[in-house]
Amino acid sequence: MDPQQMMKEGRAMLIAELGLQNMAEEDRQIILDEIGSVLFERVMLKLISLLPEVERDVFGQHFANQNIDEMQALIQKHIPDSQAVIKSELRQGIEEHKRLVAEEVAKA
Amino acid sequence: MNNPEDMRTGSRFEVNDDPILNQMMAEVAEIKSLLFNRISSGQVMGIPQAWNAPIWQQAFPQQSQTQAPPQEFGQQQLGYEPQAVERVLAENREIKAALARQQAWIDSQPIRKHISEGLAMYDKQPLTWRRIGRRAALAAGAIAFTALATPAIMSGPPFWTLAWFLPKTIAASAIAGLTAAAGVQTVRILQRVRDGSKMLREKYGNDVIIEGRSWTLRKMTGKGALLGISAAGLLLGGLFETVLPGASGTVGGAIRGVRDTVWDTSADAISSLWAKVFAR
Repeated sequence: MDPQQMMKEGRAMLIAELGLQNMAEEDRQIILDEIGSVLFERVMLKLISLLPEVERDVFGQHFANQNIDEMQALIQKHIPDSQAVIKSELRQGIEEHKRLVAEEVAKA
Repeated sequence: MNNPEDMRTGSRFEVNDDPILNQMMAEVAEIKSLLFNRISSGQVMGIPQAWNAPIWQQAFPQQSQTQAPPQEFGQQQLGYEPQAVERVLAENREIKAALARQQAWIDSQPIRKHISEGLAMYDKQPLTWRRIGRRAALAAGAIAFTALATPAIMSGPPFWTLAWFLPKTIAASAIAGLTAAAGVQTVRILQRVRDGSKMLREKYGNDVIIEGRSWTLRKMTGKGALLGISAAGLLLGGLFETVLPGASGTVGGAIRGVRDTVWDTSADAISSLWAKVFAR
């Protein structure tokens, strides 16, 4: 799949999921970026949490030393279903976002 | 300063001997400060502060700092109905509040310490723009490779083939958004930063550019000041870029490839993952 097309479709799906269709593009860009960061961090945290305790330090060391292959190998070794984990965490992050927005709306 | 890829970051370290770079860094730091206050606080941010931007103060010098411009001004100058503007602002407030709560939860997770400890080792080494870019690419790559580099999901050429990757451009929408938030002064800053970037390209060639980006790493690790300029760089839609060495088949090329396709913005990274794992 063409990466630009992939990003375009993914962005459109996110906008629809989050109900941002009526927002100005400038604000939507910032919101999407923030949501992207939150979701990305959730995924990273989830993967790290599934690593054994001793491997988390190793993971951190690989991170420090920029050993991307070792990081990937650790994830694949200890989290064989990492794809499903990522998918699930993304979904949970989106649902959590919707829930929190609804709470904020109720407060207003 | 022979190799721009190894140029030190300027915000916390000794002043660079390149006056253009120093000026750029100072201006980006100023932008960062504006944006950081706008976005990263748990309070309502940015939108009310926009009314305090210089452009409004110039138009209404007697206006209260916390009041929005008169409705008739908004209608004439922006073409918006006041009710519609307030509705959009309300949407933004709620969304930002929700995001702040999620971010607070993420920041409170104890597991972040592991990454922080790893970075503590990393911090003993001199920080250069090149290493900041690699750090960002590394974080993105650890996730992206896992999610994308499997035959079940991927189709087409290998993930790290350079043919996948597209040249970078400055995100005009991000700059427009920044302009709305911070007023005329920021536009001038952005123009000077872009001019400075152009000067660097003229000096070192089109393949050599400077990057500051990895704001997610900033939040992951709590090392705010260290990567402060990077936050502004990313929020400006990638004003600067870094060139990592290596052809397509090398580790450097792979990191660069990940960075180019996945780390344009974190929204793009998630968009890519979203499209892949939720493809209909």
